[in-house]
Amino acid sequence: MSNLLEVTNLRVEHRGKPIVDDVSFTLEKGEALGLAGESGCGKTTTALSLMKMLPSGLKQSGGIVLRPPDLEEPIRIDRRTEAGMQVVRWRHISLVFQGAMNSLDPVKYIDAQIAEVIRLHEDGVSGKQVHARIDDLLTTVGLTPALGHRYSHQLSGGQRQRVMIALALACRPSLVIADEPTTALDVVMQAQVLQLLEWLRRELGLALILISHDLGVLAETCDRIAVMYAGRIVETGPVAGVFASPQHPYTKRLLDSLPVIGGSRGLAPPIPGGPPDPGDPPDGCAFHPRCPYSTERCLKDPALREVAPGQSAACHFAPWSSWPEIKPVSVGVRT
Amino acid sequence: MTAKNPARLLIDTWRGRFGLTILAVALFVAVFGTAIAPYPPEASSLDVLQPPSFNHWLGTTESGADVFSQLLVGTRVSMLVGFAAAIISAVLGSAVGIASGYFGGWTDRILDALENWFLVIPTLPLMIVLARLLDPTLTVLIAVIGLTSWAGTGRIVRAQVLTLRERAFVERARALGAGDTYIIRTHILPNTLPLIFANTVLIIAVAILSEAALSFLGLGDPTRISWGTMLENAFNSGAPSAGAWWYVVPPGLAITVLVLGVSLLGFLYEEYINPRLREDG
Amino acid sequence: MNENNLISVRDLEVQFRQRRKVARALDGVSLDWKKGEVLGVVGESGCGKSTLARAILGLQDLAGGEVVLDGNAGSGRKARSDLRRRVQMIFQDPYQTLNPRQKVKDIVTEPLVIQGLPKAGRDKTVRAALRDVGLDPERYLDRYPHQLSGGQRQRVAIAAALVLEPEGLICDEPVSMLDASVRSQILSVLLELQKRRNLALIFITHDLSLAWSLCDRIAVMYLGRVVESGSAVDVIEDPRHPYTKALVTAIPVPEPGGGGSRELLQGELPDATDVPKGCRFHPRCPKRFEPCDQVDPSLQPVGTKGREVACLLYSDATLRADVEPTHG
Repeated sequence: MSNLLEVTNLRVEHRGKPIVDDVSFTLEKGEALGLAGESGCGKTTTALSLMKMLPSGLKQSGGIVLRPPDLEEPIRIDRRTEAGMQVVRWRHISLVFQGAMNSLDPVKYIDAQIAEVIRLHEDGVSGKQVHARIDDLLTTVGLTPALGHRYSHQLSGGQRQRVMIALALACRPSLVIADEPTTALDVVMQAQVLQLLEWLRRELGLALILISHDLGVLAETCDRIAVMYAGRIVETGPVAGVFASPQHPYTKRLLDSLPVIGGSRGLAPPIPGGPPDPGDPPDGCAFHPRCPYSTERCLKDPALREVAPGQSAACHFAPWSSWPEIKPVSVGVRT
Repeated sequence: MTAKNPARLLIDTWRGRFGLTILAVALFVAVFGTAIAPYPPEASSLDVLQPPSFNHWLGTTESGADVFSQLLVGTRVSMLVGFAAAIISAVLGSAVGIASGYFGGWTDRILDALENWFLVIPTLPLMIVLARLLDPTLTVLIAVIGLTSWAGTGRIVRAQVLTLRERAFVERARALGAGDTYIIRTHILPNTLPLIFANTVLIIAVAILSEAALSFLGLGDPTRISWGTMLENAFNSGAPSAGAWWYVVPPGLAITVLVLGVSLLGFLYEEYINPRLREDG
Repeated sequence: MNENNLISVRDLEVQFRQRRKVARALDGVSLDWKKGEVLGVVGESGCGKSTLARAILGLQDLAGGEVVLDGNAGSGRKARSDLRRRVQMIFQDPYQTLNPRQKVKDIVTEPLVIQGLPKAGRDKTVRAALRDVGLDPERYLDRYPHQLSGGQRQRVAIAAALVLEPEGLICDEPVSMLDASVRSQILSVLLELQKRRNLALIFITHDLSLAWSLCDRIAVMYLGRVVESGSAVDVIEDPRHPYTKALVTAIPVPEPGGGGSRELLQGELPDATDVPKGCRFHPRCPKRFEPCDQVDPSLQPVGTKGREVACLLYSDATLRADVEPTHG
């Protein structure tokens, strides 16, 4: 069992309604997994539950096991108490929050904030060691150490994002979760951050869970991808396989809406409607009301099953060898 | 995405129930006080400074008048001054706040300086000075309190207007050629009203207290009975040292309870508007 | 003036005072927007794309240059009110774009009210506009913004822009804050309307692949100037200006390891108060050479018709001297 992370039947409930429903996946050391989906699909909640950082009112259940390479015994995150989690967070698994660039303390220097994180999670680190670590971290993320002596408002968005990554790396975890790390960034800064994450993976052997609604971003950086919809994983598999041959209608439609330079221009038929209300999900397959291929069978819950080597999808009609054409529907409402 | 139902908030929370009850009772007494009072409030008698009895539920004053009747009648003054002064303060504060926030430039600088002046000057001493200089009538009292408490509202309104001015829907209206009056009327004011209202309710509480203070200090209308004048008379006639608690405690308690009731409703209203404000950016 | 142009801007300048310095948000922008054309304006944030939109609509005071509507350069009241009716704008953030205290009915009717159009036909026009964006009037007229999703709010904003039957619509990042599936819905609405009404659209976005797939032409902006323009396919698939090349290289390629080894642009967009001397891009330009820090290149036609680049690599002098512009 060499998996770095093993998640089994993860479930997060809010007042009895599932926000994350029976999510299972594994992650190898140094692997990058992309978690894709639109807002409300449960990807951020999944990430938070891995660190047991859910807001009060949400209950989580299911197995989460972390096997950091530098430890003898695996860490059963699902069984840890809050006190027990404090030695796990940041030291073995850390998180770059969504919109984190704006959560730096505006009245402290950057290096003071990094120092704070290090001291909080590690005992007996001398002042000199901390300083050396900070310089090292800043250089690792592509910033000059001199920037440590600035305030967050003196840095650009891209630089702040790099600081957040440095903070996540401060205690040398083996797994970093990045929640929408490039969303508020320009295309150039986005590419820089992705390049950085890729480099960190190679150099530090870091495992990565990358959460994004942008499939293009995930495709570039990740080895495997899991597409979430209404709290469940509807498709998962190696990036190459999923992109070349998606096995779930939702994945297919999402991929269709990605413009690929050099390919055909114009708009693919959009997915009608909106994501389901978590308090009132549709019967059976959560996607079927919006699916152009749905039939009566879809009222029954499709299980996530392997439909191609290494690739699983939750659709009754998978595997799909070809996709029937969808006629574009006119937008206006005709009386 | 549903906003909290105001009726639910009023009925389901203890704050709502308390506040509503207090306000309802106060309103009722303010209107019908003179009719339901057992004795004419001024009527003197020979039963001077008597403790509560069957005839006089809250005892008598130093001139033998019925404390309970005075308490009932005095409600009207407190309510009247409180609400009227708060309304003046709200109108003045909003006008200044909107003008300085929306137009900016010199208008803003002048009005802001004015606002600062009023904020910095300690209100009670200012009220005392003004009340001293002018005839002690209720109107003057209302005007004095209103004119000294508008600056806080002005500040808050200005801040809100500054953000509103930059919002897309205002820009769109401007791009279409809308005039300032239209924009203020349709976009600025409606989005500022909840804030003004919340602030005003709390000013009502302050106004009630101010009236009581001024009257207690002898600056109120001597022809009207208010809780403040009751306290003034009580202290002047040595009631506390005579142990006549029935004269001192009721008006003090009445002031406290009314202010509490109004404040509770004020906080409740803030709660009501807050989630909507957050939702709408 | 070319009759095909709905709007033509010439040497537009907009400046902001920031404490003691002057930020040159628009520093001589010249652009043609043809009738019925979908024009994309792309660039990093801070390049001036939104300022350009607001300048066109008259929401921004000009420090120089002019905005020409349909051949008439007038800046009087008649010209301004003409512009207001014929060009409308859609804003970026659907959660901020509607007045929370107005019903959908009032929001969509507002342009008719402000422009003083007769009460008689208003209801019909409003209902037609809502239907055109895919919202059933019966269900939506009396709703408040907080009862609508992001996509629905954006549709209401589009409907409000349509009631005056404009010829042009400027969309400032209309979908960047929306989810993927809603995004394609809104884009669908916009494109269908464009086709049906032959609207001219300006699409302001930082998403180059989107601009490539939807626009007829693209103008690339950098620090207050247009540095390259041409047909969307040309500009994105065969970029000439080094900045455009850098932007295009940075686009994520939806393939594993699609990034490969990119030569990424370093540094940050300079502040608009401190525009570099000579070519404003030269400090970050991998292709800079001798005259780049002295000479400020202007937009020159290059190659195919309609293609313009502001780069010394393509200036007449360079070409005449037979210096090969390197296509990297």
